[in-house]
Amino acid sequence: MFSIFRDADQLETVEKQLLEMFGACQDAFRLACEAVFGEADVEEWGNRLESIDKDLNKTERAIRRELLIHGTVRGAETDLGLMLVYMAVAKDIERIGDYCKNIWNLAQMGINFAGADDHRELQKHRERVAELIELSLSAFGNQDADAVHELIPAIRDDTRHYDDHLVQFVRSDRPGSYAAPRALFYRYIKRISAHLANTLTSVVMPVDRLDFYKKSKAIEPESEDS
Amino acid sequence: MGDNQVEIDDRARSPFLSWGETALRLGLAILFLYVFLVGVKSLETGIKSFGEAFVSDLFESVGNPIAGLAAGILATVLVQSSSVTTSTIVGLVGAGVLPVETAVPMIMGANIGTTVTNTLASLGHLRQGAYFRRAFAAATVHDYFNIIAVVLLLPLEVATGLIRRIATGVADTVGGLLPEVGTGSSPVKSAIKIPVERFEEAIDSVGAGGAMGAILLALGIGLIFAALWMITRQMRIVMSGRIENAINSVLAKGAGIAALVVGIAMTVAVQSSSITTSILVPLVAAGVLTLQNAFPVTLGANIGTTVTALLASIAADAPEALVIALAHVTFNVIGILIIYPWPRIRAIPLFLAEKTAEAAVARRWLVVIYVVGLFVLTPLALLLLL
Repeated sequence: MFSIFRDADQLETVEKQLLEMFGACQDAFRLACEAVFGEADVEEWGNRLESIDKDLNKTERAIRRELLIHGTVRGAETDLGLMLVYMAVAKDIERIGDYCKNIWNLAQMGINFAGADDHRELQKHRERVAELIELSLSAFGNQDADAVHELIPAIRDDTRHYDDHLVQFVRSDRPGSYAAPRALFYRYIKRISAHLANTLTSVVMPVDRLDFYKKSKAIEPESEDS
Repeated sequence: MGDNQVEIDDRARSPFLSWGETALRLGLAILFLYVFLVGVKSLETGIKSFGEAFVSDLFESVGNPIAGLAAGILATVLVQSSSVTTSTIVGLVGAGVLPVETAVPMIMGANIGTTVTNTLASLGHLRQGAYFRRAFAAATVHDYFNIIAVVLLLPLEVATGLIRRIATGVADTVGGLLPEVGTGSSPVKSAIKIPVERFEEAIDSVGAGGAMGAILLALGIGLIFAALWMITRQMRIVMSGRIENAINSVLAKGAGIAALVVGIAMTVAVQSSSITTSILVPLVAAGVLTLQNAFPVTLGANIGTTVTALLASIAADAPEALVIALAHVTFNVIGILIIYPWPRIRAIPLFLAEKTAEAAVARRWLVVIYVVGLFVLTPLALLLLL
C-alpha cells in the first residue's frame, strides 16, 4: 500500500548515473587506447567514442538538473554537501571522457604506438591507467576509505612519473612527430589519473577540501562498532 | 558501459525514509486531517454561538462582490495560505452565516492572494538580473492567470450565478452519493463533533460560557492553521521523492495536460499550492524549466489546492459548505478552460509576466510597488471604499 508513498530516492538515481559514467569512461579509455595502439579501426572506434562522449555529457547535464530539483523540493532537508560532491564528481568523470577522446584524436592524426621503440613502456602505462580506473570505480562505489587512502598517494606517484616523461619529450631532440604525440599522451593520462584522484577525494575529504587530498585532514572513517 | 556492477555504499547517502517512518508520517498526516476537520467544526460552532444578528452585521461589509474579493485577497496574504482562508470560508458557509453568493468572490480573492508566496520566493533572486527576470516571471504568471480569471468570471458570476449553479448541481449529486460530504450524518461527522462538544463543556466548566463563540472561533482557526501546517510538512517529506520524479517528467514531456496533472497531484499530495508554485520558481530561475512548461503546473496547483476546501466541507453540517467548496473547483476549472487550451489567450498571462519581469529587472523598486500594490494596497482600498 505504501509503495506510492515510498521515497523515490533521487540521489540514488544520481549515484547510479555516476557509476554508469565511470563505467563508460572505462570503455572510452579502452577504445581510445586500442585506436592509438593500432589494435582497432580508428574511424569505427571514433564513432563509438563519440557516442560515449555524448552520453557522458548528457548524463552530466541530467545529474545537474536532478540535483537542482532535489535541492529545490527538499528545501531544508537537502543534503547540500552530498549534492555539491556529486556535482563535482560528475564534472571530473566527464573530463576523463574528454581526455580519452583526446587520446583517440592522436590516432585520428595518424599516430600508432604499435611497434614503436617505447611500445612496452607506453603499454605499461596504458595498463596502469586502466587498472586505476577499475580500482577507483570500485573504491568510489564501495565508499572504501582504506582503498582511497592507498590509491590517491599511488596516483600522485604515477602523475609525477608521467610529468617526468612529459618534460622529457618536451625537451627532447627527437623529431616533433615522435616527441609531440608522446608528450601529449603522457599529459592526457596524467590528467585522467588526476581526475580519478579528485573523484576519490569525495570519499574521504570534507566538501571544502574536495580535490585537495591530505590524509591528516580526511574525515575519520566510522569504526565498525560505533 | 563497463561491466562493473558496483553500487554506491549506503553510507554515502542521505538518510532516506524507511517504511516505518513513511507509515508513521502518513499516520500523522491522517491524524492531523482529523484535527483539521475538528478545527473547521469548532470554527463553525463558534460562529453559530455569536448569534445571527452579530454575524450578519460582521459580514455585511463583504456583501459587495468586489469587497468580498478584496477580503479574500487580504485574508490569504495575511495567513499566507489559501487553504486556511478557503477552509475558514467553508466553515462560515457551513455555519449558515455567510451566503454562498458572498463567499464565491472571497474564494476568488483567496486564489489571487495565495500567489503572494511564490512572488516573495522569487525575490530571493533579486541580486542576479537574468535569474530574477525568470523567477519573477514564473511567480507573476500565476498572479496574471488568477487576475484574468477573476476579471472574466466575477462579472459573469454576479450576473448569472454560473459558478454557484454548477457547484449546486454537482453538490446535489455528490451529496446524495457520499453522506460524508453531504448533509446526512456519518461516522466521520460524529467523530468530528465529539471533541468540539468536549471543548464546549470544558469552556462552560471554567465559567467562560459567555466567550464561547470567540474561544471556539479562535480555537478553530488555530487548529486549522496548525493541522494544515503539519499535514503539509508530513506529506512534503513523504512525497518529496515522488515530487522530484514528477518534475523530472514535466522536464521530459514539456508543457501540456501531463504537466497540469503533475501540478494537481503535487498540490493534492502536499495540500499546498504555494509549495508547488514556490518549487517551480527556482527551477525556472535556474533555466532548467521554461516559463511555458511551468505554467500548466501552476494551473494544476490551482485545481489541486481546492481539495482542502472539499475536505473541510466534510466537517460542515449545511449543504452550502459543499457548494462553496465545489464553487472553488468550478471557478478554477472554468478559468483554465477559458484560458489554457487557446494558444493566443494562453499567451496573454505569459506575455504580461515576461514584460512585468523585464520592467522589474530594469527598475527594482517596481517590485515593491507591484507586491504591496497588488496584494495589500489595492484590496485594502477596495475594502475601505466599498
